[in-house]
Amino acid sequence: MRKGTVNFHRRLIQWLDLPPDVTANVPRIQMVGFSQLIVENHQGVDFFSDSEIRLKADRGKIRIQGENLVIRSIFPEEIWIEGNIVEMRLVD
Amino acid sequence: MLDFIKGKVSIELSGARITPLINEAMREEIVLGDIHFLEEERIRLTVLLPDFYRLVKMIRRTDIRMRILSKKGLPFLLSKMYKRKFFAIGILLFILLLMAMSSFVWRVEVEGNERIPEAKILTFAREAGVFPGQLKFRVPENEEIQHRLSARLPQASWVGFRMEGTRAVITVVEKEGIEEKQERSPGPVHLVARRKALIYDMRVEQGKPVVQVNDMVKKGQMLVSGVYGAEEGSGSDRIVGAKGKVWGEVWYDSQIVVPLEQKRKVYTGNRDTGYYPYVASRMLRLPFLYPVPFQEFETVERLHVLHLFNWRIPIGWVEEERLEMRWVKQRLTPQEAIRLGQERARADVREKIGPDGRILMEKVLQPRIDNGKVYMKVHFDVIENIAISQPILQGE
Repeated sequence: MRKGTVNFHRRLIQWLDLPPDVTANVPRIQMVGFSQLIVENHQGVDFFSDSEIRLKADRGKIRIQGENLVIRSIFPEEIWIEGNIVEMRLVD
Repeated sequence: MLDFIKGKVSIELSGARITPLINEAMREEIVLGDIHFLEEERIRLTVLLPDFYRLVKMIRRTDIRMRILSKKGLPFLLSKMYKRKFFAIGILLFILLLMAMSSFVWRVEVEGNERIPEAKILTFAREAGVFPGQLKFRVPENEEIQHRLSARLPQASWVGFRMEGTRAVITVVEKEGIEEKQERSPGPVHLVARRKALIYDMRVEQGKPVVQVNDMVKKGQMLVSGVYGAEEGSGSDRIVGAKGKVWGEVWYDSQIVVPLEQKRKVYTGNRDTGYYPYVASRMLRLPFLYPVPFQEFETVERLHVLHLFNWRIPIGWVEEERLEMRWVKQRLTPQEAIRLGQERARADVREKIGPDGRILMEKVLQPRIDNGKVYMKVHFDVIENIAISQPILQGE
């Protein structure tokens, strides 16, 4: 996405008072308990092992660390991750 | 459940650059699930069968090697069944044969009969629709067969019918013999008058008559004593019991009202049939399916329920026959009305006096017409058996 479009989106969101995940292509991360993580609007898997999963997002990456990580299901706009999640970090 | 119908394939992938493959598959909208990391460059995942072939094509383009671990779901079951089609046909044939065979009556059994010959009962049962080789659903209702058999078998006091699988069982309870019957009677009796009457004739088989022909008797008066002897209570008497018939002349008066205008229902002969679904023991009256073309009608409903083996499935249909009818008004002349009333009164009296009574004379008294109705009184002079038995009380 081009920089101008992103800025336009950001201003539109502020002006209309909308949650940012509706219009902009930013990830929306939802965590249920300690073992389930749902990421919407991801851009694909960058790295995958049972102790670490890296997801691509519009800005940077989402790094999930833990044990016995499993991708329960993966769709173009949504990914469900399960396992003992220890840490989630947003990296550039 | 949907996954089961579509079929699931579990596969193992090994090789470098697996992650880009996952991303590509995701972009192609192939739904991957349960992605497990086994070791470096080796993962296990599940994919739905429709997506599986697209995934295979994608894998062919890379140098990733694939191994199928398991196949689950309906398509695989079906293909397996197709491979063993003769086995499947055999199972189906077996079930069908079992259903077909169990829908016949194979044997008719009679139990409880001692004097009534079995062949006779079986003949009547055949007439009622129960015989070996009959389709089970064509056998009428148990009650109907019971009714028909007991009408044909007066020697039986009760006839029961039931189906036990493919076996029809007729249970007969025979009437007890006459010798046993007398044992049960309440001992020696006197005969007393049932109502006020003039004695017309006496037929005494046993006992001592205490009234004579042309005597007036009151209700409850003793007619025939069951005690022989000089005097009652003298000690020399002998109790034998009374038996016989005493005919008395009795008078009946019947009040009858006959309207001059008679209203009767007449079927016009037009009929129409409608069908309604019957679900869960309830009839669904859908008014638009089979509209009734008649103004005034009566309905006859017949229920058809599906049967599976012995169970009634609460699904079926109701056949409703509508018979068009009409009210017909008929004006009677006073003479006709009187005659009609007289017939009614006669039927009434005949009911009261029983089969061995007879009517000596009848007379219509005071017929008068009031408010479109004929009021009248019919006098009957009848002869009937007025004797009823009364147990002799001993040790008084």
